[in-house]
Amino acid sequence: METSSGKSSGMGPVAHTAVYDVIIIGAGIVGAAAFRELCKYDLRVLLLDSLHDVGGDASRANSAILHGGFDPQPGTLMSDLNKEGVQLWFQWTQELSIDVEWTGSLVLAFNDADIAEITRLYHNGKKVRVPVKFLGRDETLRREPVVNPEVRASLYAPVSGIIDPFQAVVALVGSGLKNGGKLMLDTEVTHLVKLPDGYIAVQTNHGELRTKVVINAAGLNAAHIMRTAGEDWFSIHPRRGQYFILDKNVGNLVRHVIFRAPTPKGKGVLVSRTTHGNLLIGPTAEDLTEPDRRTTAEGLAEVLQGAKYLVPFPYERHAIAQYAGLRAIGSVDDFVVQHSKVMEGLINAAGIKSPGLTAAPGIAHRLIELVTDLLTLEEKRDFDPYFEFPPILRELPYVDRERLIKEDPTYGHMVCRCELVTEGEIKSVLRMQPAATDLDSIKRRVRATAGRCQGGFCTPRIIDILSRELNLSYDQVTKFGRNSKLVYGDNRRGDA
Amino acid sequence: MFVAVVGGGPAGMAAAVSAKRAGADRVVIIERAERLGGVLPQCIHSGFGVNYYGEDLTGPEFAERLRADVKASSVEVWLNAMVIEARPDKTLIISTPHGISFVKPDAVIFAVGARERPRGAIAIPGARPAGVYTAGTAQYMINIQGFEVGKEVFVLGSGDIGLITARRMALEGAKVHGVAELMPFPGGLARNVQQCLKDFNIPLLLSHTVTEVLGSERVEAVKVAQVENGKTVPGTEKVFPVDTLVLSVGLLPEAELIRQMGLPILPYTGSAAVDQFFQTDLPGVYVVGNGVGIWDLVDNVAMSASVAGSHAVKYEGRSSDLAEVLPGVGVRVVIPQRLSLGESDVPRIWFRVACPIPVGVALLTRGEEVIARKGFAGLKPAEMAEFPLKEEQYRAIRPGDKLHLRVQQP
Amino acid sequence: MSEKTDQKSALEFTCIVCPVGCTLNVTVSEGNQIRVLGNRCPKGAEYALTEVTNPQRYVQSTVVLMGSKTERRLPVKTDKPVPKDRIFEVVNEIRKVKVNVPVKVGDVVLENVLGLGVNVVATRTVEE
Ligand SMILES: Cc1cc2nc3c(=O)[nH]c(=O)nc-3n(C[C@H](O)[C@H](O)[C@H](O)COP(=O)(O)OP(=O)(O)OC[C@H]3O[C@@H](n4cnc5c(N)ncnc54)[C@H](O)[C@@H]3O)c2cc1C
Ligand SMILES: Cc1cc2nc3c(=O)[nH]c(=O)nc-3n(C[C@H](O)[C@H](O)[C@H](O)COP(=O)(O)OP(=O)(O)OC[C@H]3O[C@@H](n4cnc5c(N)ncnc54)[C@H](O)[C@@H]3O)c2cc1C
Ligand code: SF4
Repeated sequence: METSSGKSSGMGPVAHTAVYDVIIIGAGIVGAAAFRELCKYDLRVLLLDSLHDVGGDASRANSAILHGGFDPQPGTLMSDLNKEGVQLWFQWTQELSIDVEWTGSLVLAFNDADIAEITRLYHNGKKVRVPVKFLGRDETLRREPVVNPEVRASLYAPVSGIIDPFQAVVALVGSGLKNGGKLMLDTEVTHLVKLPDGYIAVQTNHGELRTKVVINAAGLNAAHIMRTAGEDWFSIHPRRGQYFILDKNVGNLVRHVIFRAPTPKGKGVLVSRTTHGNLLIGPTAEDLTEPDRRTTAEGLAEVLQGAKYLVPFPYERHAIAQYAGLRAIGSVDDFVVQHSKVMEGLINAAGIKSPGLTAAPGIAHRLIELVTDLLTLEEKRDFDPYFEFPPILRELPYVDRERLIKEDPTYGHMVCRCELVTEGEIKSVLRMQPAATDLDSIKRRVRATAGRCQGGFCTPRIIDILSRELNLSYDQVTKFGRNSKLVYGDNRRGDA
Repeated sequence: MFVAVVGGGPAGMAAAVSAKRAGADRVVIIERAERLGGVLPQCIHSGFGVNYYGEDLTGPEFAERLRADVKASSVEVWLNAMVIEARPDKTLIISTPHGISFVKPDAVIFAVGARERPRGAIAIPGARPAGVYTAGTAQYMINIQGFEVGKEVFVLGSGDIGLITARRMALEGAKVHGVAELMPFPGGLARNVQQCLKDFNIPLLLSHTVTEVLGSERVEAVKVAQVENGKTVPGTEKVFPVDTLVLSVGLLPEAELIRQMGLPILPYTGSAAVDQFFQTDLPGVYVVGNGVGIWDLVDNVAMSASVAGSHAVKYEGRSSDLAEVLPGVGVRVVIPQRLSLGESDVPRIWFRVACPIPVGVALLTRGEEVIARKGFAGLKPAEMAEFPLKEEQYRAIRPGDKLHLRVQQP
Repeated sequence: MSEKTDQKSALEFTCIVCPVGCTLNVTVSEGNQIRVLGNRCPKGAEYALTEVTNPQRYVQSTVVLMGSKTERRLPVKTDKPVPKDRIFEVVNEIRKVKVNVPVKVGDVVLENVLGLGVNVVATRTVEE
């Protein structure tokens, strides 16, 4: 539904005086997880994002790994929430039908320094009680025969894996919407102002909203939001990570997530499968002063070099896409999940760098505890913990596909030839909540354009579907909202 | 005899018609698009059919001729029907708006065409805005859908498809700022450099490539730099303020179904190995047209397909005597890669050189021994050339031979 | 257009008549005698002559197609070449054309465009 106050789901036109109990700024994985959990309670909850779809920033451009929990320093919030996150993802991925695979991970050691490092990680793991094993060279090569034979030892963490981060955000937001929460997209928060009556005024590019509590889950922008509330002890800078995605034909190169022993700069380049069966290599770790989501020739070369060291393979021959994401590196070396020091009613979830995806459910629970300090929470009796995506045909047996096609023939019409996505599936994600409205949001929900031809075949066809189903002129159809138009319209318009 | 043809492009139509003419009881073309013709309906320019029909036709006209043959020959045509799985026992599973169909023909001819390499395959760094398209996609949007794709355009890749798309966009009123080519020579035919670029004053930048895409929402510019020995030359970078980047950086056979059948994929063609009848190592399974290797000329595509169509019907268990043909020095692609021996007709062998050879000799060798040689002038990577094998040379090839086709320059 | 036609010296063209793409060397002597070298067949000489005197090109484009279930555009071409410097004028005339189904290959969709004695014809058959 389009309104003057941005695009909203699950609600009618937004009145400028709308009042909420909790407004969450940022529909990344952290905001989405908090949204889903808050919608268990009898509260008026609104989730805001400046982008045209949920999960449009760091939560869509990361390594998609559920980390084992041995890496963060024991005793930190990051360590606690990582462990809690893994446990909750077990449950949530089932309730919300999110793709996950517990592949296990291997941290490889090639020299004495590496061995010292994985030994430290081993002891970390033991201290925080997550399963870890020390493997010798032979056992490492037995588990993963393709790794660089110079490997000397590895750390094996069985309870770690890979997740579909796009699906995760969509499912969490969908679950919240289903349980009464509201969502506004294309809505950028510009200021937070404490009002005399105790409410916080949330000023946006689409007017002002009032709420008792604000959860700041604005990712890279979280420190900026804090500053608009007068809180300036914390700052964030971006650390870029670049990646290659490779063809599904080589997705089975490795069975586990393969890391190099970490250095002070981070976990280094990894080699992993994605839940969709592609191969993923990356990331770099480049500290930037300004947000810059571009890939660079140097960065991509570094990824190839790093990956080839771990697992020698001609990756570039199978490349289908590259991307970059920005980690939000805070001025404190831990997650900041706490009440604002200056504005009552503001709760910050800031500096959520890696393993933020893994920790998100834990962060959400911590946020609920903090909300309890401010509001009385009453559980809804009719909360429905389950969420289901519209059917994905390629995952169904042929008899079930046949049944769907009989109901709606467009389920038999292939639009994306690489990922085998049908017109019916695309139409269904335009109707689901949160709805897809553009090319990239369709991609994140059903993978059309995500295959080896990268939309060469289906983009033109999806333009037609979007135009027809959403009643848009051709030049209003976008890749990801705003001015990301795919074409300039009809090439014979105005000729007569 | 039931022959299923997967794909209704020129290869599929030619194969189906020749299978029917050779006496097949039932021939079905399974085509995922809403129309027959493959890529031809969008190739509205001329330059098709000079060899096959002896006339210079546009793509749609070429397709119309084949379509008329299909109509006249009682070949069944299933449109909006996509083969989504192919099993080694030749079972095909097809998704259509009427449901999922299973067919199990006696012979399968894959005429599935090619797909374009996307931006990600060559890893062009930069931002990821809207407005980066492969040439075939741009062409489909302009000619089939009637979209205005871009106003200010840059093209990477000077193969014929890139050149033709540059001209088409210029004719539609776009400003085409230039065409960059990584190699020191154009990828496409000289005539297309003339009539697509020179005629329209579109600059051709040889030994150049796009080093970065800029733009946060729609493309705002591309950076282009000179390349020497595979590296960009510092200080040669230029910025072109365009809203669209068109990529024409190669085609790859659509080999997924062929792979599913368990056939190994050759790295240099991107598809399965075939013999001179375009039969793969699985009896009764054929791959033709751009699905077996990139031919460039539709005439060759149609020719290859008709050979397969009639052979599929006459086929009675492949002759077990095979020799292998491999690309040697200076040669990038050879088709076919197998020779069935003892056949009545002398096989045609096609090859593509790795770089332009003004004057040279092509040699078919068995170890050190030269089986056949032929002098050539003006060999270009843009064109498939035919190596003429003589009767006595063919007969001299022995089962199990590993032959190499290579080129030498004086 | 990079080549001048009034030069009394050597010119170089790429023949566009067939895929071979011969490089044609054309010399125009004092008495307007034209000599062509480099053509592998007579068509090349013919092409070089017109290219020197009156360069011409076939033009292909699309027109709006109405009434079809699957197609919005009909591909078309000029049935004869048009002067090279009038290509854009011809394309602009073609842009204005709208036709209805059914159409057949060869149907004239625009007659005698710009009075050049050239028709614009359909290159595809669309029955419905
Ligand atoms: C390269 C890289 C690799 C990573 N790998 C992993 C991994 O393998 N495993 C793991 O667990 N974690 C990983 N992480 C970390 C993880 O991705 C992040 O911690 C997590 O996605 C952060 O989620 P978020 O919701 O805090 O931020 P985001 O996803 O960035 O969401 C913030 C949202 O806030 C919105 N927003 C910002 N400002 C405003 C405003 N003013 N008004 C309205 N909305 C606003 C943004 O549009 C955005 O959607 C990785 C991160 C990166 C960058
Ligand atoms: C932009 C462009 C310009 C060209 N210009 C020229 C030129 O000037 N002169 C020239 O001679 N040649 C030209 N060609 C080349 C010529 O068009 C091709 O060689 C020829 O079309 C290849 O024919 P094909 O039948 O092998 O493949 P295609 O034409 O690609 O047909 C393959 C068909 O198979 C269908 N298909 C694929 N997979 C499935 C499946 N699983 N189930 C059902 N159907 C399937 C596709 O939908 C398609 O219709 C050009 C090509 C392009 C792309
Ligand atoms: S001169 Fe003849 S052979 Fe050479 S390009 Fe022209 S038409 Fe072809």
